[in-house]
Amino acid sequence: MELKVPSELLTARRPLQAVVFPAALTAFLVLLPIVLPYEALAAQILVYALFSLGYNLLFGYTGLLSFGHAAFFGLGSYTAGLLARKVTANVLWTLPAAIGAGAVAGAVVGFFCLRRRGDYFSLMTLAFGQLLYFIAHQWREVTGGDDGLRGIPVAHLQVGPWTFALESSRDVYVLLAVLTFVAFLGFRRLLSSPFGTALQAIRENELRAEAVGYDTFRLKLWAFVLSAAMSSAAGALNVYLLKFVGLNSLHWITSGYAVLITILGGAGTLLGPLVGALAFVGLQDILSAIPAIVDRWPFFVGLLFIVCVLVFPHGIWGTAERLQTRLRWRVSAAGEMGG
Amino acid sequence: MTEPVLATERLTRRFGSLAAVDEVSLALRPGEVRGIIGPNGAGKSTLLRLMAGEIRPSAGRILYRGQDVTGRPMYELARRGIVKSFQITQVFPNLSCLENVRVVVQGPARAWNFWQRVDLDRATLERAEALLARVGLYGKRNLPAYALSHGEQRHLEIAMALAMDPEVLLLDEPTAGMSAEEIESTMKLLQDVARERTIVIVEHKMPVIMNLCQRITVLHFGRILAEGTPEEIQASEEVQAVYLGRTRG
Repeated sequence: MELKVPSELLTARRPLQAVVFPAALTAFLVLLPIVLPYEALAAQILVYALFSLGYNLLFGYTGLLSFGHAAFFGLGSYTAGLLARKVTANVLWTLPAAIGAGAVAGAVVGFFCLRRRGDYFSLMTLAFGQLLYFIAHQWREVTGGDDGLRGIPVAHLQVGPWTFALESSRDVYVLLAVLTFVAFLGFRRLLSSPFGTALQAIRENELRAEAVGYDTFRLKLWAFVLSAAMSSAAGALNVYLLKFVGLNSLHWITSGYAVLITILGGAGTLLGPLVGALAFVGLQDILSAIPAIVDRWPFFVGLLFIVCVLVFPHGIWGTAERLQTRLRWRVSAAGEMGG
Repeated sequence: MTEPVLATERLTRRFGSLAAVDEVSLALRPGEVRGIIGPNGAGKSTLLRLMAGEIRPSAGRILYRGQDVTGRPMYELARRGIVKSFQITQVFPNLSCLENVRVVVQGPARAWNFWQRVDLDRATLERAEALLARVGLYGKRNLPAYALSHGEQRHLEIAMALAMDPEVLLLDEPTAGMSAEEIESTMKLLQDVARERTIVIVEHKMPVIMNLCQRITVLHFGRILAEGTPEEIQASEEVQAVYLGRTRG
């Protein structure tokens, strides 16, 4: 007998899910600052969730391991910070500017790095990242060097005669929550589009994707540009929150955060970056508050990371998703036997 | 005499000082099934890779429907109608069979659509399912490709190649590593496919070649040693001497 699993069940999402996902995401975003001890922590989680969402498009869905995404995160921060200091602190200007800067930088860096594959690609992204770091380090007059960029005015949203200042962490959180909601829904859509499925085909087997007519270089470049633009947006949002740009936003350790969070949450899963950011930033906060640990927290985060990778080989959310799929198969198999 | 659909003119590919393919001129008539045989290292796979645009020739030209397509990238030739299947199985392992075929059916030309949901596209879904049915994988359409047997993965590859609706199909050892039954079903499938398309097959298994092909080209050290019908090739003493590694006398 023919295996009776209608393809629509597995390929097309059931209508219910069209409502469940946005509703669950909304609930999460509303509850997050209430459950956590302070709003700045919730905001920090969303900044890193957005950074990793962009990173995950490249790493988790296209299969390209970049070690240089701090370049785009930092570039977004410096763009927003410098604009706020010299021109306008209106988010409607600084955020698109940061996204644009990230996209252009992504196109340039991607164009060169994507000439090489595998480890060489990764090392070239690292090199470009470090290049930007040292430029910011040396160019004191503009960037403030290792003192960072200080005296950034409070960001505000100005639409016509109405102005909303993003003074408190809660204000910034509201903006972040709205953008996170839009970004995750947009990415979900993107991933099931012809473009998104083509990227996943490249991740699975680039030669095969090319043999069936996909211009893999151009597709990878676009994935790189989108990923960089998203990372820059996260960088700009971080400035609204901190009102300061640290040189470390360009440091390779920041690139490492994106890698860690994505792997921790589950590379190649939509919600992995959100879950990973929650776990990573949350842990960091808990550990650094313990008096006996304080500045030794990275050691313990590293330790927990190793444990997590061993326990959840596909990341926290990735492993959960796999269990869920297996469960659904079992339920549908049982249902068929009963019926 | 009809114009050849695909032709090579003194096509050459050197790796260092070795000419893997050495001034090979071929002309394929529309609808022809051409076998390419030769001992290991004769340059068969290299020739196929050149024809698909996977690698660039060192010299010579490739003409497709009379147009010079030498040096064009593989993805462009694939879109224009020359599609290759590989010697080593190449599928998208973590995607389901259906997704494997669907990503081809949906069309690389639409890759710049960032918004539409392909999983809701009826026409694409139905065409992908029909292709899977044709290669006998409909029942396994929701399984990930890595869970298929070797023979099934090769059939999936053929479905993916057919999804491109190619005019010329280049098959590099389509039955490599298959069981006797799988070879049987693959031959049936290829005979069926051959009715509508021009095919070039590189193969080691003589029964497959003799059964499917109207003409056979024998390569030896990168050069064409002989060309003719299966009967002519079988009868050729020169071919026997070289191909079967026998020295007469």
